[in-house]
Amino acid sequence: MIGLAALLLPGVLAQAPDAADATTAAPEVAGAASGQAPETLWAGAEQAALKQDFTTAAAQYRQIIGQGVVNADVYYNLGNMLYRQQQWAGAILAWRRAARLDPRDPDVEANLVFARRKVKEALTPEREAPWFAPWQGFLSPGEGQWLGMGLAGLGLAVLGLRRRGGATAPSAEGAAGLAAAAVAAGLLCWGGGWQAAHAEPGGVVLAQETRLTSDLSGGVELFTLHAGAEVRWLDEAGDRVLIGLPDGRKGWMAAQDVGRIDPFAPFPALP
Amino acid sequence: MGMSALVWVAQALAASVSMQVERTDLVEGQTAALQLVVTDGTVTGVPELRAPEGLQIRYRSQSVQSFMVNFKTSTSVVYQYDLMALQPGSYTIGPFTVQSGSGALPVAPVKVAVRPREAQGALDRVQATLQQEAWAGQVLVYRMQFQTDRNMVSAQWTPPDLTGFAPESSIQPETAESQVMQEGKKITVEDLYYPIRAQTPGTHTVPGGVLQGQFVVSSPTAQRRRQPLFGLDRFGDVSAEIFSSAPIPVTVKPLPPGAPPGFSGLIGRFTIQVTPSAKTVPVGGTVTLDIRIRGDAPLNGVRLPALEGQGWRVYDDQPTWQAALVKGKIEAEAVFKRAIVPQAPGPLVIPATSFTSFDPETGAWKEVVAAPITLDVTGEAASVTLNSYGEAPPPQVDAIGEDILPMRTEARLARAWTGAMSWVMLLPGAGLLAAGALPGLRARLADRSRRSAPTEERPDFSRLPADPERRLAELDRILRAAIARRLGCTAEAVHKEQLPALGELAAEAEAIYRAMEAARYRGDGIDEARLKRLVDALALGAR
Repeated sequence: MIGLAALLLPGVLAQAPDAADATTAAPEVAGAASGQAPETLWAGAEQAALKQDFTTAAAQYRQIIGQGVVNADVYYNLGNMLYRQQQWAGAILAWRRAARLDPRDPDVEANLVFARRKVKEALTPEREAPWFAPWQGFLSPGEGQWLGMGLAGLGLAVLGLRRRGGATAPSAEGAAGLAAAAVAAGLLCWGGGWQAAHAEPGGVVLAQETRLTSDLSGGVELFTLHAGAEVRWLDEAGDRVLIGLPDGRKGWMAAQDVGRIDPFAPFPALP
Repeated sequence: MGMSALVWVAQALAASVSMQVERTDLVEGQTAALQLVVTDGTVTGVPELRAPEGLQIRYRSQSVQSFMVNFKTSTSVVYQYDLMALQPGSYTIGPFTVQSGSGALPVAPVKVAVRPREAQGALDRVQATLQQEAWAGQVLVYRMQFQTDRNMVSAQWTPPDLTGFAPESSIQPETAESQVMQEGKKITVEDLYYPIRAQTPGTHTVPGGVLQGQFVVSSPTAQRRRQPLFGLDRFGDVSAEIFSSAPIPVTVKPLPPGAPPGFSGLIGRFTIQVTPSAKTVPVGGTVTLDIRIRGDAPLNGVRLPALEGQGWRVYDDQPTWQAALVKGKIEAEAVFKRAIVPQAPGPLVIPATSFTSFDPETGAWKEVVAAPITLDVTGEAASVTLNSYGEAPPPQVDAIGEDILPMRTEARLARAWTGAMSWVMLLPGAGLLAAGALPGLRARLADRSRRSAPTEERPDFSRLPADPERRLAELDRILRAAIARRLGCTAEAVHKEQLPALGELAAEAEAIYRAMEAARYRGDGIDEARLKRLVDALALGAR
C-alpha cells in the first residue's frame, strides 16, 4: 500500500491541472495595470451598477478576471451587467462560465433561461460528464478532484489504522475491503474531475451572424448561426473552429466569432 | 573556409518557397497532390493558388517539418492542395508570389498536361442549368446533374466559384439521387440544387461546378477471387473521377427605377392569406390574425406595414420565416401573428393587409393584397374605471417575472480554486498508512537480516573455498558440526556408527557420508545442494 501511495502521489502532482493555467491565463492585464486590488474593483463595480453604469461595472468585473481571479460570482455579475447592456451572447458566455465553476447554482440557470429567450437559436446544451463519472455533471472539475482525493485519502487512512490495530483484528477483512473500495472510488472520482477539467467545454457564438461551411478552407455554406448560440467545440485548425450543434449538425467557422466557455481562458472582446 | 560556412548558414536560413506537383501528366478527371513548401518563412493564413481555367486547386491541409542544416534548425510549412484536372489541355500553374514576414517570395511555375478521359461509362454525362436572365437581388437555383450507368459509390459536389452572385445562406442546398432505366440499362442520376442570389448587374459567366464520384472498379478475375460474404462486399475496389460542367453565361438586369416606398427587396411570386381566430369577439377580448405569406423566394426579414385604426388596438408577435428547396424549387413561408383587441362594440373592419414585391416574370412591381376582414364586436364599451367589470369575471392576466435575478454583493475573491492541490487530501491517509506499516516493516526487515546472516546453524554455502581439497574439508566440517549439534556432542566425537541415532535423517546422512568418502579417496564429485538440504534439516531438528 505504501508502494501504491508512492506511485500515486508523483502522478497526481504531475497531472494536477490548471494550476499553471490559473496563474498564467491572465493576459487581460488592464486590471493589473490599473493596480487596483480585486476587492476594490468588486466594490467599484457594485457602485457603478447601482448608478446604472453597467458598462463601467462590466469593465471592472473583466479587470478582476484579467487579474487571474477565476470566481463564479464574478462571472455571474459580469453576465448580469452584459445582460443589462443587451449583450445577450456575452451574458450567456459569462453565465456558462459561472455554471462551469459552480454547476449547482440555481440563479445562474434561471438567468440563462432569460438570456436564451433573447437569442435566435436557443440551443440549450445537455450537461456533459465523462461516461465513467456521470455525477461530474453536477460537480465542478475542482470539486470532483478534491472529492476523489479525499476519498482516496480516507481509504489510505483506514488501511493505516487497520495495520496499527493488527491485521488479525476481527474487523480487519471488512476494513481492508472498505479501504480498497474508498481508494478505488476516490481514484474514479478524481479521474472524472480531471477529465472534466481537460475536456473542451464548448463555446458561445459572439458574432451577430456567422456562416458555417463544410470545409476548413471554404466549401459549401451549410447554415448560419447568430449571436448567443451555444455550440460544442469539436476541433480547431488555425483560425477556424469545427463546432457541433445538439441536433448533430457540424460546420467550420471563424474562431474569433465564438467565445470559449473555459473559465480560465481570457474573456473575449464582444463585437 | 569561414566565409563559405557563413554563406551556407545564410542559405540555410533564407526564406524560400517551392511548389511541387505529384505528377504533371494527368488524365481528365484525375486528382493529383500539389505541395507548397515554405521554408524559414512566416505566412499568414493559407496561400491562395489560382488555377487556370480547366484546372481546380483546393486546399486540403498543412503540416510543419523541422530539420537541421549546418547546425541551424530550419522549419518548413508544407501546404497540401488537391489539383483537379477538369478539361484536357496544357496548363501552366503560376508563377505566384507568396507574402511572408520577410517580404514577397516568388514561386516558380509548373507545367501540367491533361489528356482526354478514356471512355469508361458509355452514358456518363454532366450538365448544369441556370436561367440565363435574372434581376439583381433575385434568388436562382443552380442545378447540376450527373448521369452514369456505372456503379457509383459516392458523389461529392463542389459548387462553382461565383462572380456577381452569392450563395443564398437562408436556404440549404439540396442533393437528390434517383435511378431510371434507359435502353435496358440502369442509370443513376445525381442532382445538386444550389441556391444563389444575383447581386451585381451585368453579364457574368458562372463557371462549371465539379463532381467527384467514386466508382466500383472490379476485373473479372477479381470478381472470381472475391466471394461476397452476406452481400457485404458489394463495393470492392473503387476509383475516384472528377467531372465538371460547362460554364453558363447569365445576364443580371438591374431592377427598374421607381420602386414603391414599401418595397423591401422581395423578388418573386407571392400570395398572402389572413385568417382570424374568431369572427365574433367581445369588447376587450382578443382576436389573433394569422397572416401567411408564401412564395418562391426567401422571405427573411420581410415586415408587414403597421396597422392602425380607431376603436381597437393591435399587438404584433415575433414573425417566423422559413425557406427550403423542395424538388429543386424554393418554397418559402413567413408567418405573422397580430393580436387585435377591440375597444368598442359593433362591426370592426380590419383594413387590407398588403406588401410590395417585384414579379421577375412580368418585370413589374406588384402589390400583394389580402382582403379586409370584418369582425363582429359584442358587449359594452370598455369603461375607463378599473372596477367596472360588473358580473363578468375579469380577464385572466398571468404575471410573469420577466427579469433576471439580481447581482451579488459578496464574493470570496480568492484565486482560482482548482483541483491542482487536491493531492494534499492524500497526505493524512498516507501518513497514517505509513505509521501503521512502519513497525511491521521494521520487524520484517530485522527478521530478514537475521535470517540472512551466516551462522554455525546456517552456514554460508556461497562462500566455500574454490580449491577442491579445501572445499571438501570445509563441507566435511559443516556436516560434522551439524550432526554434532543434533546429537549433542562435539564435532570431533562424531563417528559413522553414530549416524543411526539421527532417526529419519540417518539414511540420508549415511549416503552423504559415503559420497564424501568417495570424493575424498576417489576424487568423485559431491552433490552440495543435497548436503545443504541435509544440514538445514539437521539444524531444524536441533533447534
